[in-house]
Amino acid sequence: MVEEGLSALAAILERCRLNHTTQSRPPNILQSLLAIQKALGSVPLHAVGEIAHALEVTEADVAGVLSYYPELRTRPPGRHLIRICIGESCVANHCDRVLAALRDALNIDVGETTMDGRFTVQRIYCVGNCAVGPSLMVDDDVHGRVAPQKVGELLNEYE
Amino acid sequence: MRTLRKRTEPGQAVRLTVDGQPVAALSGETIFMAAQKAGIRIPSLCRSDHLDPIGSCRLCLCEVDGQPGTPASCTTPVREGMVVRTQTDRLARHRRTILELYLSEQPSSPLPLPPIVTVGGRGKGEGGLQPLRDLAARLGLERVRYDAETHRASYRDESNPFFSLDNAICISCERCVRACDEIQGTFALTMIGRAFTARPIAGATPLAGEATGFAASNCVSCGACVKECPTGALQDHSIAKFGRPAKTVRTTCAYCGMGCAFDAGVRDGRVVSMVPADNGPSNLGHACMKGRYGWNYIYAPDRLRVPLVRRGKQWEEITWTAALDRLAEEFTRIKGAFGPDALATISSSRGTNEENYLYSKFMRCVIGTNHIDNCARVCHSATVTGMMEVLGASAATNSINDLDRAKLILVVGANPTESHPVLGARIKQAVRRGVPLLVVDPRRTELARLADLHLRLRPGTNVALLNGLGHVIVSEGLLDKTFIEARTEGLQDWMETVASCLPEVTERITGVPAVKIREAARRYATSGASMCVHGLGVTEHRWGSHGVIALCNLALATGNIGRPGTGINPLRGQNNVQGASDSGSMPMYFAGYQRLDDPELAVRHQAITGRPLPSRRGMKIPEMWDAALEGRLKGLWIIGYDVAQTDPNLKKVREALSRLEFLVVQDLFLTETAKFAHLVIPAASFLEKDGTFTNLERRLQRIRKATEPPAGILPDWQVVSEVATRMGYPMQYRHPAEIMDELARLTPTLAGVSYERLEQADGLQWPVPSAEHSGTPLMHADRFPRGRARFVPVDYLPPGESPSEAYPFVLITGRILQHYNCGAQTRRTDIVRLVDADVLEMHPEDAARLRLGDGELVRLVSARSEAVLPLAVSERVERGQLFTSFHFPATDTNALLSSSADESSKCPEYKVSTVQVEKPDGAQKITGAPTGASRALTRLIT
Amino acid sequence: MTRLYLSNDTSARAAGADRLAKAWAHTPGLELIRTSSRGAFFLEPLVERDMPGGRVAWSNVTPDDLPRILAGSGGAPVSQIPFLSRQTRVTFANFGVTQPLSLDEYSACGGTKGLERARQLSPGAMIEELKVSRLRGRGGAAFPVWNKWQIARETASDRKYVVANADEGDAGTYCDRMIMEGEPFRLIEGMLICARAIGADTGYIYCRKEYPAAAGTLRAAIERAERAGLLGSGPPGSHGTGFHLEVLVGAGSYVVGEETALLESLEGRRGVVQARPPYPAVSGLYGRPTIVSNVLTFAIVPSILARGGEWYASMGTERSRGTVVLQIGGRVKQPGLVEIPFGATLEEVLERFGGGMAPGARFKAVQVGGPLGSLFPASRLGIRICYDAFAEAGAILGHGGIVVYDDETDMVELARHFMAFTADESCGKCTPCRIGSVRGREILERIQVGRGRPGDLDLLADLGETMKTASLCAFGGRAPYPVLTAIEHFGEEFRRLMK
Ligand SMILES: Nc1nc2c(c(=O)[nH]1)N[C@H]1C(S)=C(S)[C@@H](COP(=O)(O)OP(=O)(O)OC[C@H]3O[C@@H](n4cnc5c(=O)[nH]c(N)nc54)[C@H](O)[C@@H]3O)O[C@H]1N2
Ligand SMILES: Nc1nc2c(c(=O)[nH]1)N[C@H]1C(S)=C(S)[C@@H](COP(=O)(O)OP(=O)(O)OC[C@H]3O[C@@H](n4cnc5c(=O)[nH]c(N)nc54)[C@H](O)[C@@H]3O)O[C@H]1N2
Ligand SMILES: Cc1cc2nc3c(=O)[nH]c(=O)nc-3n(C[C@H](O)[C@H](O)[C@H](O)COP(=O)(O)O)c2cc1C
Ligand code: SF4
Ligand code: SF4
Ligand code: SF4
Ligand code: SF4
Ligand code: SF4
Ligand code: FES
Ligand code: FES
Ligand SMILES: [Mo]
Repeated sequence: MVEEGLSALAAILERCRLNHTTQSRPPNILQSLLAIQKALGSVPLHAVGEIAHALEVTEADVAGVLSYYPELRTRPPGRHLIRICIGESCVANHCDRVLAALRDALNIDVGETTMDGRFTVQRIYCVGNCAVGPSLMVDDDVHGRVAPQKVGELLNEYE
Repeated sequence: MRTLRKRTEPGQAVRLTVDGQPVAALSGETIFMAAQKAGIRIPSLCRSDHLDPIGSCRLCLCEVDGQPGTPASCTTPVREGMVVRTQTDRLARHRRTILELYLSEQPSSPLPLPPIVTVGGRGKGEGGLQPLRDLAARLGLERVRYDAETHRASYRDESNPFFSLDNAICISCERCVRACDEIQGTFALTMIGRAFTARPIAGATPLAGEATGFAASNCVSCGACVKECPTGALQDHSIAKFGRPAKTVRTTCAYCGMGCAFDAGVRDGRVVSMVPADNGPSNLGHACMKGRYGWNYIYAPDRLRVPLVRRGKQWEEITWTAALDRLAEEFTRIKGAFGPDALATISSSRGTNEENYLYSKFMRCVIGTNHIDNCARVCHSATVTGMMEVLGASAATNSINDLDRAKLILVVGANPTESHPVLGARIKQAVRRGVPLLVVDPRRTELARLADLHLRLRPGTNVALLNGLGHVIVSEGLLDKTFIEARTEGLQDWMETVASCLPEVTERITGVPAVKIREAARRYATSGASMCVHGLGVTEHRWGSHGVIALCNLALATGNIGRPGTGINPLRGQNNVQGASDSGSMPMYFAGYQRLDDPELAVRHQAITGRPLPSRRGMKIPEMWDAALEGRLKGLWIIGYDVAQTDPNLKKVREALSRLEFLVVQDLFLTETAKFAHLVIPAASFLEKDGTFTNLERRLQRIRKATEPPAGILPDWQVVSEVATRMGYPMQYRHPAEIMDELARLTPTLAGVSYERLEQADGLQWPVPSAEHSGTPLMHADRFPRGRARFVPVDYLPPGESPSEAYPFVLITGRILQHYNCGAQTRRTDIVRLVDADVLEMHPEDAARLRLGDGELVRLVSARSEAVLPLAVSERVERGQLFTSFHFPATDTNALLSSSADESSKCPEYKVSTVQVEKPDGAQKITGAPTGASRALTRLIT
Repeated sequence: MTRLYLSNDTSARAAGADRLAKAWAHTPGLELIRTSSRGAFFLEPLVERDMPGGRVAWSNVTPDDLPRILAGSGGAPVSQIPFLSRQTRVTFANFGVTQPLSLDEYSACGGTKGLERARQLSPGAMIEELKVSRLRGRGGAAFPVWNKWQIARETASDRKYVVANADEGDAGTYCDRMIMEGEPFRLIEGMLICARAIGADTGYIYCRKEYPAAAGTLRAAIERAERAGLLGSGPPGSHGTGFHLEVLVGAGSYVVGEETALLESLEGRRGVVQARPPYPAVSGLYGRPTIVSNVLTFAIVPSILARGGEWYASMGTERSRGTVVLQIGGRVKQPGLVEIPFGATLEEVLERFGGGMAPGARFKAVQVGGPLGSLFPASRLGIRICYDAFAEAGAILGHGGIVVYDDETDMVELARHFMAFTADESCGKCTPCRIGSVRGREILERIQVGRGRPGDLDLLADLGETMKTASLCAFGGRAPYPVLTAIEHFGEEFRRLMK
């Protein structure tokens, strides 16, 4: 698994490197990390050295970026990432009630992953769905007008 | 590498009013800078004279008429007519709140003000928060109203051998991070996290909760971050251990030829810190690991403290009087029995100008021979011969600060980020500003990696490559005809030579693709100001002088000489290798490169020294070995030079040393060479004496005594004075200043030098022809010493050895950042906690082919000897090539090498030897297991 | 064959549009056209059909409604939906009508006219047109657009960049997302015009991670524009390919919406705010002159070029010209996008467009301008929607987000939420915001659990004052406003907890 991840990593890094050369711009750490996360589910800390080497930047440079952005993670999340919006429009629409329902349904708190590895719950500040809030984003799907009592049903769509 | 955001360059005069006071400034300057110049103190923590402002602390707020809000004075540029207030009640209130916030994040529950903390080895009697307390007192803050719950993480990184980071007292001002980026260009630090948790770390391992940031990062321990830290969160171990200095003494680093100015911090008679001086003319406040932290060898337990004489295989301690008597007696005896030419001295390029002058005076006036040489022989002697031939002078034509004026930088056979790290950092700064960089080197050095073009030539093919560049310059019409016409001669001959050096032909010899050759030539010729720096990759070759000549030819052809930001600039190696030669420790020249047969000099010499100047040229170091082996040389005095480790073909050198009737070695330590001596004399270090060094840009700077040497030890100049006096030629100087006065009287290029003048922080760059002359930052502006410079055609000739079946690898030797030459000094500092062995660098493909792994011990075999050392798999070296250093006696690297040397200068061919690499078989005992090299720590700079 | 129009906008899909599409996928004789959204989100999913008198719409449709729609019964003519008919749609005129990725439809509905006009003008004349229009940036700072362009145009450089700020971080705003998903060519056209005016050859759209659909649509649109020859397809700087445009996606972080932080992030580094000057127009991306503008700002530009600056300047108030795009959310009956000339009062907007409160809800406060915007109680709704009136009130229009809170909202908790947001999202560069936000949050937290101390509200006010004046960027500078206005207007709720 780790082996596999690493060779995938090497391939992504090669792509990132090529991209920078053809775009004639310096290596883009953030975009590379996003590409890695997309492929591996996370940016494992033990890969930082290799990433830095491939991008010709220092490990510190990578660490700085990796720790800055909330969307970057060093451990893979559950199979599905639930992001509950706590932006003001959703707050106004009492998203706290949705969050409570989520907690009840999954038995986990924000930032945690269910025992079966199916869901991870995170907060998010607005998904641009404010007119149809409260909003819940599961992976790339946005769900609107989420009623607290319908949360369980909604999650059933995700294996 | 991060791009720099451009700010307006300082330009026009601007007038503004700050706190009612008229202030003159330049456009592009900030309000803070203007106020500072006018003596107005604005509180600040995150700002520094050496860094781009970022506006983090917000203490420097000000009010500007007609502008809303309170801009930070450190980031706001001045404008004509601006009216600024920096001290109002409102500003004071906000400043207090800000300071209150800072104090509230400290874990020491700061009510009313934090108690003084002296946790874990911080400075004696000093709270880490002292700077904040001082500021609180200044701003009238008495109470912190937040009894905060959230504090800084308690994180301490002790993994660096020289300093530590304590996050608890850090204020996240980023000065350390910016210092690493902007000054040193190493990018080892970063801020991590965001919001309240944003804090500095080194490397990446702290993300995983490990306190190994510095150790696991690419930090080069330059100390820039520590120096910039306003709180003491980053602090030198030595300060923590011994306390803050009570006084400082301005001096000059005694390692490499950069000549970094330092303030030695002294407390209770002991040196406790070395901090690079902001007004150091060559280093501008920066330093490297060795100068900054590699000085406590002066307190090494095994330092020589008393003279020793050999009794068979035993050493016996003798008194200073007995030692000096013995030396004088032996030299008198040998001179009497075999004549002056049976004696020779190898003077130290590590010593002062005054000392080198005195040793040469001793040989010339007391012994009556020119058999005196110095370590420049094995280093840049080819530069001396080469530049003399073309230009008539053999020193850097320009100044280090010209790196800021160059429009292109060409680095040939030099690795400044390791060998001259402060200069390397300056080049990296230029690259960040967008100045193009070309690197000619077989290895992928740090600068090669950053270069616009890396011409990765085969070792030993400089002349071919440089002629190839010449060909392109000629064939594409890039010659600077005006310059050539006005200032040079001999163009035709050179053009004929390079006519056949087509890029494709050059590619076959050098391995550098023809397209790159063309591009490099065009860029060098057309940048407007191309500055060349070169190193041992040019000189330490079979045809080293030719390499230097070929470089000079290119500069002449393109007019890249005699102007700011151009020139031919040898990166002279040791602290005073330039000065040792300048002051006459040379067999071919008198001080100032005056010809020994110059009748005028003879008269002056007689008048001043009272003795005639021997006019027959003396022996160069390699000739001394031959003479010793042949029995012609009987007595030799070696000062601060470990020939038995650092000269090539060590079997021969050692044999020669052991044939001598009398060998006296004068050093701080019992070096490999001292082991052959009949008499060993302890030496004082640079921190324990006065004198001058001349750096690689011809700048004479003072060194000053900061502390006493161990009891009884005389500085080298006093030793030679004593011996001369005993031999009937009294040398009675009370102070090195008097020696300099004499040297100045004898040497036209130094005529205007005196200690009085050297009191100025900038030192003096020779030529200084008179007391009124302010020195020469730029040479050859109007004419060359020989009138016109002369193109000297040189043809490519192959190196001494070519790979064969038996010895298929080409071994390049050189130095690494962490250690210095014979290592006698750096091996006795905490630097060994970073690197404790020479390693053999091999390309990953070669390693894979030979089934060798990182860290494995291998045997390196040449026609002369073999060495066992650990392998480091590295892409710094090309396939088929190897690299190692010569810093550890246990490796005995130089026993592998031959005596092959440059024809005219005798500069050894250290850079090309052919070798084989073998796996040491299991039974093989590693003889002389690396001293202290138990773990083979290494840290390659890429 | 019956053609039905159904929006493909994220919010329409979140409201159930995809469910309809899925349910009806195999219905014979039915062609489902996925369009942009009209922005009347309270009606979504909205299904439309061409009828002799124009489009007719069915709102809040469920799969079972199909027969009704096919029969043509029960729908309302779009032109008679008051929420839409009362608006002055300029930038959003085609929304709900066209297919986002059809360049032909875009041109047919007036698109690319601005670019054609720009091609006939000199850069100076283009900038003059913008000057006449008096367009101000819609990203928050409301800086005159022509002025920025002028500076970038005059700054000499080997390279210049155009960057669309598509970070749309303000909660309660979504018009940028709608543009990117609904009429991406409008953004591209605006950027192309800007590139011509300043002499840029490369552009980037920095799209926030939370908008995957927008990034996907933009990439597809760029590909089509390249095929149509509007954009170059080679790498930046390669000659003869014209303008190179690329979408880069962020990774969270509110502050990255600030222009200097955005450029840092675009270069792949920590998205931390940088002190200005230098301003991006002088030294931005990779140290080169760069125009960073909001998506909406770019999207307005084609219309100005096509119809003239004077036409644009004829709308709005003295110093706030043209139309304002408001996005109403929270507890109103009719949340959605509203484009009207500047100058209406907040109250009018909430009544005429918001339609009053959601069923069962009672008004408590409204916040304009995102998480850094001030709160208004019922007594202050008379304020006019224009830059000056808001500035005078110490408030901001921001990106036009309007969030209405009902009376079940706990103001202390809301204030804590704001400070917690600041403490989470601060970039950490400057002291007042980095430490101050945490201290502010701590004070509110202790008030909330009944452990507030007598001087706490004063301390908050004091801290807020320093954050406002001393912060490096508007994030820390604005962060105290929602908290302090909550205390100002609903102080009783705080004091009650401190007994
Ligand atoms: N840390 C540290 N600093 C030092 C010293 C030290 O021991 N340690 N020593 C000091 C002394 S005495 C000196 S002289 C200076 C020397 O400083 P440098 O001149 O930098 O010396 P080296 O690193 O030995 O060699 C320079 C480069 O020449 C390259 N080279 C080898 N062969 C060729 C060739 O054929 N052509 C070209 N173009 N390049 C080639 C090598 O790969 C190497 O990168 O450093 C001084 N500074
Ligand atoms: N294989 C290989 N060998 C090389 C080179 C290479 O590139 N490859 N480079 C060569 C070059 S460029 C050089 S310059 C040489 C340098 O080689 P060395 O000159 O032998 O080495 P250093 O370490 O510079 O200094 C020698 C001694 O000077 C002593 N010393 C320091 N200060 C003083 C002082 O004030 N007084 C006295 N009396 N002694 C002092 C130190 O303790 C040390 O033992 O090595 C050469 N050897
Ligand atoms: C904290 C902060 C967040 C911001 N977020 C955004 C944003 O999400 N989108 C945006 O267009 N501008 C944002 N801005 C404003 C930008 O800094 C910049 O002014 C704007 O993108 C310029 O575009 P304009 O001229 O079209 O308004 C933000 C500013 C601050 C201080
Ligand atoms: S010591 Fe020098 S290289 Fe190391 S982190 Fe500090 S500044 Fe960077
Ligand atoms: S360690 Fe020192 S320089 Fe670095 S951020 Fe902390 S206080 Fe500033
Ligand atoms: S660069 Fe050279 S002179 Fe400067 S501190 Fe380092 S060793 Fe000393
Ligand atoms: S503040 Fe009032 S008067 Fe002034 S421009 Fe706005 S609407 Fe008009
Ligand atoms: S105010 Fe906040 S977001 Fe803005 S620079 Fe300061 S710390 Fe960063
Ligand atoms: S506030 Fe939740 S989607 Fe915008
Ligand atoms: S000194 Fe200006 S903000 Fe820190
Ligand atoms: Mo040297």
